[in-house]
Amino acid sequence: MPEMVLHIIEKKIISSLRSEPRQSIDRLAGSAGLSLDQARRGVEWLRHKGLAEVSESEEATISLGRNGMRLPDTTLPERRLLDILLKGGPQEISDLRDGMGPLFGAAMGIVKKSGWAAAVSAKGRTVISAAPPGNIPSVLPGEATLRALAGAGGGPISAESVDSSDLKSLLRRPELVTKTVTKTKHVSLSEAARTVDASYDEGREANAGAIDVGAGVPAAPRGRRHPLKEVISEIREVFVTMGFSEASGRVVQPCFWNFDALLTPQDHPSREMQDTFYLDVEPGELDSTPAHVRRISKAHRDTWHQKWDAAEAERMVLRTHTTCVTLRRLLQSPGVLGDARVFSLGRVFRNEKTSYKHLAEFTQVEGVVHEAGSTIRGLMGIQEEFYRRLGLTKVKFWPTFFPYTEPSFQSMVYNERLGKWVELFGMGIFHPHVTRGLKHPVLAWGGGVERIAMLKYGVDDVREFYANNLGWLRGARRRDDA
Amino acid sequence: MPVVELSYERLAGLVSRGGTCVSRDEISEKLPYLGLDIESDDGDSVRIEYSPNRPDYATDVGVSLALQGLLGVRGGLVPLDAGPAPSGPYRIVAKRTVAGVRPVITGILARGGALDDHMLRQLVTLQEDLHVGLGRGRRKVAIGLHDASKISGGFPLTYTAVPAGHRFVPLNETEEMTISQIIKGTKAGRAYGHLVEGHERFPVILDGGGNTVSMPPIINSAMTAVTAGTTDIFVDVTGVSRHAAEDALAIVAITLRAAGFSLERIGIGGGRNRTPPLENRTIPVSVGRANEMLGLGLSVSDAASCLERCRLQPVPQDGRGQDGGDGVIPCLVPPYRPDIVSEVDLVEEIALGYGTWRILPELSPSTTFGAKDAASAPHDAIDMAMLGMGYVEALNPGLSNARILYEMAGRRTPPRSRMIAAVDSKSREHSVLRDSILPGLVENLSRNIHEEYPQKLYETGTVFLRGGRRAAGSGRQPADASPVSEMMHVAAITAHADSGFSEAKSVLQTVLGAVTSDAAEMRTVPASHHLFADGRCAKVSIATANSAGGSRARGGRRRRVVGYAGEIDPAILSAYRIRVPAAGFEVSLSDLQLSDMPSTAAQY
Repeated sequence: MPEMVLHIIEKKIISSLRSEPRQSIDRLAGSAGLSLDQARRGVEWLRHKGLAEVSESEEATISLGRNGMRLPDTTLPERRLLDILLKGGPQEISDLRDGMGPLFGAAMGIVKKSGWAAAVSAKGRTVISAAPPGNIPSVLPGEATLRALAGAGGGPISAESVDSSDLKSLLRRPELVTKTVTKTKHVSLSEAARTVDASYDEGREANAGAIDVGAGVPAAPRGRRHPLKEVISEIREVFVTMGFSEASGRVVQPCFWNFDALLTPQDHPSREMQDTFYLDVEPGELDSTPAHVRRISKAHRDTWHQKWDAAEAERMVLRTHTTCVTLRRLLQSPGVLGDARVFSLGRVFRNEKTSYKHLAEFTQVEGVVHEAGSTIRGLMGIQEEFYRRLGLTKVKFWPTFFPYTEPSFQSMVYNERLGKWVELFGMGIFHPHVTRGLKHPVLAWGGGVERIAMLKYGVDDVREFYANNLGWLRGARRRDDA
Repeated sequence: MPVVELSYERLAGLVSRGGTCVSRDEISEKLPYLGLDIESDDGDSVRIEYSPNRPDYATDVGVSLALQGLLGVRGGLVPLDAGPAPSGPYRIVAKRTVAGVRPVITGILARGGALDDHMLRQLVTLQEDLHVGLGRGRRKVAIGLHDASKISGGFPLTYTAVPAGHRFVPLNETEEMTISQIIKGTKAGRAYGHLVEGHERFPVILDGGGNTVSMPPIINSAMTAVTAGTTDIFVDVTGVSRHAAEDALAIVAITLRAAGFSLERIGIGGGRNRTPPLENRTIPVSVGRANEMLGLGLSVSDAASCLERCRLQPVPQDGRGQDGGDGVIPCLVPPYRPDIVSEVDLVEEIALGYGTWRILPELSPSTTFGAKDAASAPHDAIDMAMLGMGYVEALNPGLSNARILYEMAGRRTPPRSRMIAAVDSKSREHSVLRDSILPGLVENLSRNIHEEYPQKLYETGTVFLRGGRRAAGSGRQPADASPVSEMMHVAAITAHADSGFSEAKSVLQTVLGAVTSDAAEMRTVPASHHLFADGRCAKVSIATANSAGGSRARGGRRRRVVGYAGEIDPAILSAYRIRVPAAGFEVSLSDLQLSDMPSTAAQY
């Protein structure tokens, strides 16, 4: 066997394992005089060299749960009840309830079911009496375990140390006792380690010994932006470089801005509670000029042949899109008649069951262009450039329907990993009713940012973005084929 | 969006005319350019998703009419060819009794067709789509399809309202039932009974012999059930809006027409009802406007042929071109296209007829300068600080739930009037707007107990308070009328064996240092807070020059409480089964009054 270079940490571990052959890493750190981290690293190196073996064992421990900790004197409620009845004789149910408080219900249920006490009702009073002492076990199920836990300050103690059926009876009850299974790693030396020279000179080697530079090391923790936020920043940057200004606005909007101003009929299915989150708050105000409200009210009557109800427009909703923000910026900004390129980025909400492709709350981006000579071809051009800057190069357009743009299209982007065309942003020209009062027709497009982030990070379940799973957050990487 | 499965073979057969044979490939290539999304395609059949504004795409015959146009097989209007209202018995008379319940009725006869299983299924799908969309859950419009030959008492029909004791055999039943029994005891009754509840009399259609044909909008009678093999169909449409009822009738009528039936009008009267005109409308479209919007250079005759490819019809203008010389094409729009209301709708049709694949992107350079929202500057500074200290950014939903915000956060759950709850949320997970971020971060730790420690998370985001007057991102928001105020907060949490108050405070100090001036002088004084352990919690305040309502401090500055810091209550950690101590903070950026920064972006 060629001579093996061992680090002093490795030598210390080998020495320690020679005197005590099987140790947990925690114990090993102590016995070898190492920090926990040194011990972990040393074991990894040795394992890599085939000198150490690591095995895992499971140990179940139990401790008092939330409700267990609240038990007075760590005594089962049924025991308290029986004590009262055995000492004081039969008692009226209302007295017992007053005496024991909220624990009475659980206690009564158990003693009745187990036949340790019985209730007799007469003349509107219910009296509880205990069964003959011979019918009541001297130690109730669960009591032994509970006592062991109380003796150990609530635990944790090994689950093996108590009777398993006794423990089971406690685990069935809500949060009286919690059981935790922990895995422990045990280190032992391999056959090959028997002949290794593990002698060392503390003074000489402590700082100078050669180390295995090829060995793995633990990951250094680093700060990490949320991957979705990275994509959001990137999109913000693209918009700004393309001459767009950001508008931000409220999440909670009156129906007027979320629906009515976009000419969504007041009885439209998308306005119903099963699609939109209405808030349990008092109505707000329409928050617009009387002239605008009159115009919208008339447009509703003319287009949908139905009355327009201002009260309906005052109800507050979680915005279902960010158009309420961009549109307000165009209609309510001082330079309203000038040219403008505006975008907004923000959370939007749909009352939907969540699934791998749908969220109840997601992030939407939307851009609008209000300038002379805007055309659908120009809108497609902006889309193509926008996607190109995000690294999405194969783009095509299909016609589609949106309630407040005319004509409407959707952009499709080809994804190599999925091997198919993926639907991204919707686009179109706002219906003239929506932008009446402005100088030019307004181009608009937008969609969910998560869709782009899914492509960029190779994520197939959109819920990942809001699951805050640290493993994923720490390790998520961008794909080149997005 | 509704989905329908179509067979390529049937479609190809329906589309092909005369010498023109259309292939599967041509069809599957063109479907998306009609606005139909292909959900799946197995080579034999294709599942397509169609927009709710085109219920006429619910059947293969409907789709085939559009494909014929786009593929150039046959263009222009599809005539309904409904014969004039015949004199004689083919009438429906509406009685005054229905006026307060469901006043509108219309209908048509479709004869001489051959209904097979496939077509029958598609008709039912179309009917259901119309009920859901245009019909607003049958309230506004409900459609009945009947085998006309089985109307034993014959025409004329009477549309009237009868008491709840009225009896007939409803569809899918064998015994007579009263109206009350039908509402309580049948599936349709339970689903739609609420639409007629509260009335003493219920709308029914009776035949010439007094037999019940239908009880709109709930159920038809068993007598007139339509089956495969039915050759003559009577369609009734009832509702509360004549517009919507006639639109729905036209869509059913064109579908039956395209499926090979010939249409015959029924005379309708009584109340404000009329025989449905089923007339084409004329809507003018300016070719100049279309070119302006689309960025194309179409001639008048180009535009006219685009419209024809969408099965519309420019009105012939004898000898003066389709525009009569003024660049405006008067276009005939059939009654089954209620989605076409104004000129811009026709511009869209022109784009569709031109072929979206032929509309090429063109880039016009921007003449404006871009700018980020000014509120994003402090966010960037906070991100830099937190990331530099090794924190991982978390993102939690703003629409959280009572379990995370109250139950697990050591806080009594308040009545609904004190929190901001969403009405009828489909998932309990998303039901209450958060008023703070930190409870969400604690919950996040509980989902990561198997991940390596130390765990350090932070989040910036909007929180919501009742009765406020501000929007997130700025402390300088003008007062307005929203019952909910939105504030921007930042929160952070650190969890590992040695975490504690000092670490939380030290991180907070660095973060505040990144976004406020030295004069802000952060201070922490003992406080109590549901999330934090007693004795390990502090109120955080800063000195501000111009805040209102804060307590006066030295030098004429006022102190303003901006948040809390502390060690998370061990009882909360234990309820979440988190086995390491954790500490954190949450402060309101809105209260820091960071809006001294230049602001270009307006806030709504």
